[in-house]
Parts: sequence; structure tokens; C-alpha cells
Amino acid sequence: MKTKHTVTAVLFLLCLAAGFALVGRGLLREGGGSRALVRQALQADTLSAKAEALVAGTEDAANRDLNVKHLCVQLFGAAERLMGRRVVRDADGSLTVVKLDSGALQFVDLDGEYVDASGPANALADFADRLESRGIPLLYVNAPQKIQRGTSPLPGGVTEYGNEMGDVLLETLEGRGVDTLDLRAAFEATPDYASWFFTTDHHWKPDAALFAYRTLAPVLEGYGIRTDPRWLVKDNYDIRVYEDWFLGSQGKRVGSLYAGTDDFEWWTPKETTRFTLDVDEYGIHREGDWNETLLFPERIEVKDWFNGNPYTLYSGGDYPLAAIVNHDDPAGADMVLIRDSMACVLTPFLARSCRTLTTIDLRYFTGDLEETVAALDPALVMVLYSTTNAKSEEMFRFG
Amino acid sequence: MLFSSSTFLFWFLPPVLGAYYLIPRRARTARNVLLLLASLLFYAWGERWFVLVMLASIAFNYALGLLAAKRPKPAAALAAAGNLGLLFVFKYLVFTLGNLNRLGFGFVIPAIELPIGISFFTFQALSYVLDVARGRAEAQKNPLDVGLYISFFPQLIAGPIVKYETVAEEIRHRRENWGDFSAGASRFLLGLAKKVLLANQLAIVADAAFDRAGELSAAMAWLGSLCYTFQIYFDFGGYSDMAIGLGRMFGFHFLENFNYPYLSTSITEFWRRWHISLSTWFRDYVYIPLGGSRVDRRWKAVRNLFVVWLLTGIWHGANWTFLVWGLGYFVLLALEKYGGVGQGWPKPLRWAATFLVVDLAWAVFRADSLAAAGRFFSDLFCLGENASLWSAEAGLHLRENWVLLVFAVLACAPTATVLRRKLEEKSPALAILWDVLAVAAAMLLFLVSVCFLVKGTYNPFIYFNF
Repeated sequence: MKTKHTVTAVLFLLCLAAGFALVGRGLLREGGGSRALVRQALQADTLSAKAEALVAGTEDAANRDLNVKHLCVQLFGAAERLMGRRVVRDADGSLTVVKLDSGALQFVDLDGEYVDASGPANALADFADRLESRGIPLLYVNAPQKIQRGTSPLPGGVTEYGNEMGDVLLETLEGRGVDTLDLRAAFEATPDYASWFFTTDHHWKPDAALFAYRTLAPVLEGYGIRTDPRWLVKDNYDIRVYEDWFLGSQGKRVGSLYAGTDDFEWWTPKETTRFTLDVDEYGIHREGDWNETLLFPERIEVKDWFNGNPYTLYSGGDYPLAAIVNHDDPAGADMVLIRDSMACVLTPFLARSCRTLTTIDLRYFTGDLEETVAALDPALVMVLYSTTNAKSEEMFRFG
Repeated sequence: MLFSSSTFLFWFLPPVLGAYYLIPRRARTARNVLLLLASLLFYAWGERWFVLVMLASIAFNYALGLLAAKRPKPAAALAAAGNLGLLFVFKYLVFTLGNLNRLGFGFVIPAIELPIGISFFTFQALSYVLDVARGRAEAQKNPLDVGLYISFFPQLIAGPIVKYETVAEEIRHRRENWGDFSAGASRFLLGLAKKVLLANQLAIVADAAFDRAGELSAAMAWLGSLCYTFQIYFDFGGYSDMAIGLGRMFGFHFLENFNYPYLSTSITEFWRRWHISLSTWFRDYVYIPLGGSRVDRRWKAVRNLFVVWLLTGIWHGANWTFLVWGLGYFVLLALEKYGGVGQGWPKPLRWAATFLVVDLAWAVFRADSLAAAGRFFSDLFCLGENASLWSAEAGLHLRENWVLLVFAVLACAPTATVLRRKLEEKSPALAILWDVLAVAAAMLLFLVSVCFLVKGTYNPFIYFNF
């Protein structure tokens, strides 16, 4: 018994020393959690406020310094998996990760309740009316969410209302005479709905984006936005596969040992392309072909599950306003895309069908939306949101 | 500061341990001063201004200790008045005024925050003066030593309530050694795992149930009450393990606070095994001075029991639920002691009845109010308007936590000790193998506990409120 205690105590002391060294390193190292905390605390006005900031932030700072190479999250996820848990709770309830029947992960707020989406829908419908008076048509495109309508892939006892709220949103919009396209129906008609989405992330894959593009093309035609049928064929793209490269938003919360990782595909059109991309607010200016402009290869140069986000290979992520010019179609139509992150991977495809494509993300856009759109005078304003965002007040700030 | 926090484990404990053992053993005063300063920092970390209350308590009781050596009775009376007065102001004044106002009074109710652990350090301080007054211990000449006894961080905020006479000698003359240190470290690890991996996780189910009392299926209500029964044991028991372990790492020997209470086959036995330091405190400083059970009339014995359980209930908090909980135990203990309830019952039945009663009593204890307790009981027994036996929510929590529940059941008994003994009887080599696995398990549990802490999962501490 004494030997047992001795070995245990020695190992415990070593762990304490290692932990102390890590938090100490975090204090000394630039970028360390503890160093950042001290710097932040010192900026407080009074001694009392400094102490308060230090006390309040120490736990988070220490945890940041201790989570070396995200080993803590990995071990945490492994423990949750060993316990057979399908609901991995998070300190932030909205970031609770649920494993679906397919093994894929999804955020579900366990305390989230059904929200009437008619409010956001009416805000959008009002905006559509105002644009109509300026002669600009608006189309609302409802992108599918990972949880398929009419199925119950969630563990029993967990409820999620994304599709129900999406239905209300669409019904309200249709009732108000707004053009809509529900992509869910097209995806539901395919044999393996779940395969369109990443396992560890809520976004759809490039393959799904092409499928959406194919579904959208004839509808866009009605607004004067033409698409070459060859662009809708998978064979006309070179696809490079990066195996086990991507740990999505949900995966990052639970680690790769909980539900694995995703492969990531880099799609490139076989034909030559020429674009310009400008994000003035972030000082971004890119020009060249599809890969040089619309894709951000630096986002997948290194496999970094926890710090990297390969999904932003496409379009670079979420920008307040990004302007894309397609130099291959000078006679084409102009389009404004008001979007969420589902559009990242779809945007490069859509850009091929337009002369200019301006994307606006209302989470970050601070300008006057109506005036901005009016100044662009597009052939179409397309609003593309995932079904899960039907309740989001922030995404529907069309006032 | 919480023991189950990265701040304590990796910012506080390593330098305190390092500095403590760098000071030569013969410099006892220096070691004690270090522990006192560390303890004050530990308390001030979470209760910046209330540390002044504790310092005032230390000064007050130090003076009364000196007085008690010469004039025991007045010192004891003053200590009781002062310490209980302090406790009343911070813990019960708002509750008392609120209830008086319900009777028609119009008192202005002040906003008073509850200093964490005030019930624990106040009872310890009182124990010091009373032990000196009773001649069980000598008064400390050095106020720093009184300060260390009252504020020593391992047991400062959630016990165990260390009676002064049990550690008086060790404050000045303890002998730290590796055997104690290593056993203490092992004990600390065990407590941390109980707290982080069992109590915190089961708390999620318990909270999900108690937060929605009146809307639950019977299955969910029973699951919630069972999880709370385990939660409170592993929360408080885990904290006590950590406190006792830390004490030993610094050379102190605190008495046990829990002895597998859920194995009890009677309520009387349960209270000999649950929160032993509190029961002992009330026994030594209230029950026995009142005459205990050795009185000439039975009604006096019942009265003494009533007083102790009334105080036990009130000690836990300013809420009618605690009062009902305490008085409920008075009734149960009186029925066992004087009514012969349970006598002659088969042992499994006595165990089941005891566990059931304890579980139901915890439901009253956990409820936010008596009304909430009533709603929870209507769920338990399907008495509500929309009563149901089963719900998907119950299924979800059961599926998600069945592994933890199995471990919780095993950890309620000395399973590991019994298994090791059986293996040793079969072959010493098997026992050695068991020990190797036990070390690996202890370290794995520690690492997983740290991972759960770093991940920032739910981490409440029930007994901080008392």
C-alpha cells in the first residue's frame, strides 16, 4: 500500500509541476493566456479593479495555457465516447454537441425552444417589398440543415426545431409574395442525405454545393442569370482530396477521438477562369484564376485540426461585403448574395454565372443595406440561409 | 477558490507545497505563517472583503480563548453569542426579517451576502473557545496559530469541521512525513475524481429534474432524485477526501467525515456515517451538554434530540426546506430509537427503506422551497394533473449517464478495498497487479478530471452555501 501511495504521489507531484510549468510558461510567453490576462488586468483603472479582473480571468487563462495541443479536449472527447454519450454538454449551452444516428455531429441547444420565425420572415418580406419598388427582385433560398426534415436522427429526448422554424419562415414569405426556393426537397430526394454534410461540422461539402448550384441554375435563369451546363458537371472539376484534414466546429468542441475527422476536397474547374475579389473593409484584393481569387489555399496548407478552418478554403470565410468580378462574363448579370456561412462553398460556383457577385453577411455588415443594394442595381438579390438560421434575428436585420 | 479548479491545482498548490517544504521543519512558526498566509489568500481569492470578517473572527476568538483559560463560563457564553450572532447576521437575518414581514411587520430587509463557508469556520472558532473552556485544550498564546486553525485552507470552506482538541497538538508539534504526504496525495486524487467526474456530471441530471419540478415524469423525477443523492455524496464526500488528503500532505490528521453512508441499514446508522464532523460537533457541544439520552425522563431525551435536529436543519441554510429536512430526521430517529421502527426487519429491507428515506429527504433538501418540494413529490408519485410514468427526457438522461451511475453505485461501497483483499487472499501477485492498476487508474482519473475542468464543464460545490 505504501509503495502504491508513493508512486501515486510522485506522479501527482510531477503532474502538478508540469501544470505549474505550463501556466508559468503562459505567463512568460507572448500569446500565453496568463500573460494576456495580466496585461488586461493591468489596464484596469484601480487596484481593486485590477485584482478583480485577475481573479475573474485566472481560471480561463490557466485552462488556455494547460490545453497544450488541445490534449485536454481530446482526452475529454475520448472519455465522453467511452461513456457512450451522444450528448456532450458545453459550458455554453448553445455549443452542446449531439451525435446523430449517422455518427455525425450537430450543435443542439438543449434549452432551445421553438421560436416563431414569422418575425424574421416579415422583416425580409418588407425588405423585398422595398426592393421591388426599386425594380430589384429578391429570391429567398432555404439551404438544408444537417438534420433532415421528417426524420429523427437525434437521440431520443433531444429536440430541435430548425426545420419547423424553416417551414414557418418559408410559408410566411410565400404568403407575402416573396419568391422562395427550398433546397431541402432536392436534397431529400437523394439517396444519402447525411453524406452531403461533414461529419464534424454543420456545413455542406463542395459536392453538395455543386448539387445546390445545379438545382439553382434553372431558377436563376428566370432572373436572367445564365449558367453554362458544363459548369454543373462534377467531371469538369479537378478534385484533390485531403484525408483527415478537417475537424469542424462541432469536432473542435469534442476532439477527433470522439467522432473522427473529415476528409476535405479542393475543387478546381478544369476550364480557365479569371476573377477579381475585393473586400475593402479587410483590405483584401485578389485577382487571377478560381484558385488564386475565390479560394484561399493558405487555409489548408497545414493540417491543424483545432486552429485551422479548411472550410474557409472556399471564399475565405465570412466577410461583411465582398465584391467578385467574373472577367469571363462581361455581359453577364449582376447579383447580390446575402448569405450565411453555408454560402462559402457555393459562392465560387455562383460567381461563374454572374458578371459581378457581391456577397453581404449581415452579421458583420454595418452599412445601409437597402442603399448599398440599390447602388449595385443587381438583376437579383438572393438571400441564402441555412434552415437553422430561420430564427436568427441577427441574420434578418433587413430593417 | 475551488479545489476542483485549474487555479487551485496549478497556480496555488504547487508553490504553496514547494515553499512549505523548503522551510526547514524546525522552523515550525515559519511554516505555520506560510500556511496562514496561503489560507487567507485562498479565501480572499473568492471572498475579497469577507476575509476581513474571518480575520475579525480570528481576533475575537483568540481573545476569548485567552479569557476561557481563566474564566471559562463567561468566555464560552461570549463565544457562543459572538459567533452565533455573526452567523445569524450573515445567514439568517434576511430570512428572519422576511418571515416576520409576512406576519405583518415592516422591517427593511438589508442586502446581505453570505460569506462562503461561514458556517464551517464559525463552528470551528466556537469549538476552539469551548474546548479551552472545557479544559480539553490549552489556549494558544500565538494568535497566528488560532488563525491557522480557523482559516486552514483545506477545511476552510466546506469542512470537515475540525474540532480544536483533535488538532491542537498538531498545530505546533506535527511531524510531516512521506507516508502521510503520499497517502494524502492519493486521497486528494480520489476526492477530485469523485467531485469532477461523478458529482459534477450527475448534477446535470439532478438540476434538470429539480429545475422543472411539477413538469416531470415519475421516471425523470426518480432519476433526478437518485442523481442528487449521489451528487451530494460525491460532492461533499469528494471535498472531504480532498480536505483530509491536503491536511495529511501538510502533516495534519483530520477525522473522517464520511464512512460509506449509503450502506446504512438505519437512519441512526446513516447519521453515524454521514457528515460525521457535524454530527460529532452537535453531539459534543449541544446534545451531551443538554444531557443527551442519559436523562431521567424520556421527554427530555426527545427534547434534546429535537433541539439537535432543529439546529442541524437550520445550520444547513436559511430556508424552510432545511428546517423540515432536519425535523424530518428528528421524527425518523425518534421513531427508530423510541418506536422500534425497523427492528426485526430483514437487513436488505432495512437498507432499502433507509436508502429510500434518505433519497426522499434529499429531495426536500434540494428543493428551492417547500412548494417546489411538493411539486417534486407529486412528480415522484404521479400525483400531478399531467402525471406520466415515463418520458423521453428520462430515457435520454438514463442512456447518457448509466455508466456514471454504475460507477457511482460501486463508489458508494468500499468495492476496491474488498476486491483487493480478495485478490490478496488468492495470490499476493494479484494484489500487486491490482496496486499497479490502481496507480494507473488514479493518474488516469486525475488527467481526465483536469481535462473536464479545462473543458469548463459544470462545476458547482454544494456545501459552499452552508
